Amino acid sequence: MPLSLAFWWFFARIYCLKLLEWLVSGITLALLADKVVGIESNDLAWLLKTSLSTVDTPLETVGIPIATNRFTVGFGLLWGLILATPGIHHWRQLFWGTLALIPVATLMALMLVQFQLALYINHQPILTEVPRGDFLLALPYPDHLYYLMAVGRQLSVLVLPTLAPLTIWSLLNRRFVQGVILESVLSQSTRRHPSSS
Amino acid sequence: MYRYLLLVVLLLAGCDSQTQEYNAALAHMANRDLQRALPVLTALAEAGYAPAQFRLGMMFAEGAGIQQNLRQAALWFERAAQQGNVGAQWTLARLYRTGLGVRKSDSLALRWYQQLAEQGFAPAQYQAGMMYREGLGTSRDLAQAEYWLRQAAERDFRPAMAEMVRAYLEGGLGLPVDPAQAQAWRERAQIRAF
Repeated sequence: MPLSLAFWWFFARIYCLKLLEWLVSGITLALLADKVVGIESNDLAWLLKTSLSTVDTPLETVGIPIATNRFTVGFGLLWGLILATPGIHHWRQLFWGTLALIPVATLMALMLVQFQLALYINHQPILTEVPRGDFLLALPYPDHLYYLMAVGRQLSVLVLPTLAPLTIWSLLNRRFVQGVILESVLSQSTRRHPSSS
Repeated sequence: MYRYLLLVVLLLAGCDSQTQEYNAALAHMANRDLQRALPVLTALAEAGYAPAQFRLGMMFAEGAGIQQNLRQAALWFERAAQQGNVGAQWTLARLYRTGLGVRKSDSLALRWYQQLAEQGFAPAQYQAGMMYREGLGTSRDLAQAEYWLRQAAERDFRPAMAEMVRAYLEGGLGLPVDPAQAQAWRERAQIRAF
């Protein structure tokens, strides 16, 4: 796992981000064309370029920084899990696992992008996020929608980065999960409670 | 049926192309290339595309890449505002308030502020609250003033928070003097500042 994460951090992360940037940029432009102009990236973050202005500088448009590492860490985790599992189909699993994780990572990125945009538009601190000082020239989303986007944000930065690779790995290794992990858990529990069996 | 479907597809395609042209103009503006942005924005504005009408209005208002002309700016803002563009409604209200480029009219300013305020736009809620408090463009109405200023303060608009502090300290806006509430609003404003 450490080797896989090191490979992800030093080598694969940039390429994963490039792919996600292309996907998220295309989808965001299609879904939020009235607000988003595109995504610009560097090694550490994306800059979500919007067509929105602030009350104080109405001629200029606003860029919103988006932290990106969490979208792609799932790839490192998945590769580590697959390579640590005994078996002979590692390359096939790496291919299908990565392919399955791409749409999930894209969804995570989209949910965070949508939330960051809503945070700046609604100008309402939520979770650990605080919007910038100035107000954007845009109408706020209804509160229930805003809170729903916050749930999406929590999923995308807290739940899915670990749950998604684990789920995909479990699905790819159902026999291993059933035969080794579940069996061992069940046998341990029967050893602890022999009278119940 | 197919004809309607085709019409919808064509309309969507048309909207998309306008958005793309508009975004290209924004990219020129971001690169400080206003001379390339101007003809694109002008064509889009004349075709009735509200965001471009607002931007063009701003260029006229600030004299950015074009001769400053507040009357022309107000015309473009009016057209975009009628289509629901937030920036245009906000700026037009400010023009009516100050009388720049239009005949000064507090009642029209209040109308645009109120329209935005009702849709939850905090800076307009603050302006509407202040106008009700001072009786500008309408008769003085402290209940309305308190309502809109509180709405804006709840959305963390700092000037509105300051007004809430003052109102609770001095008993303004028809509120009772309540130092605890004043302190609570002051603390909230301080927390939000960081």
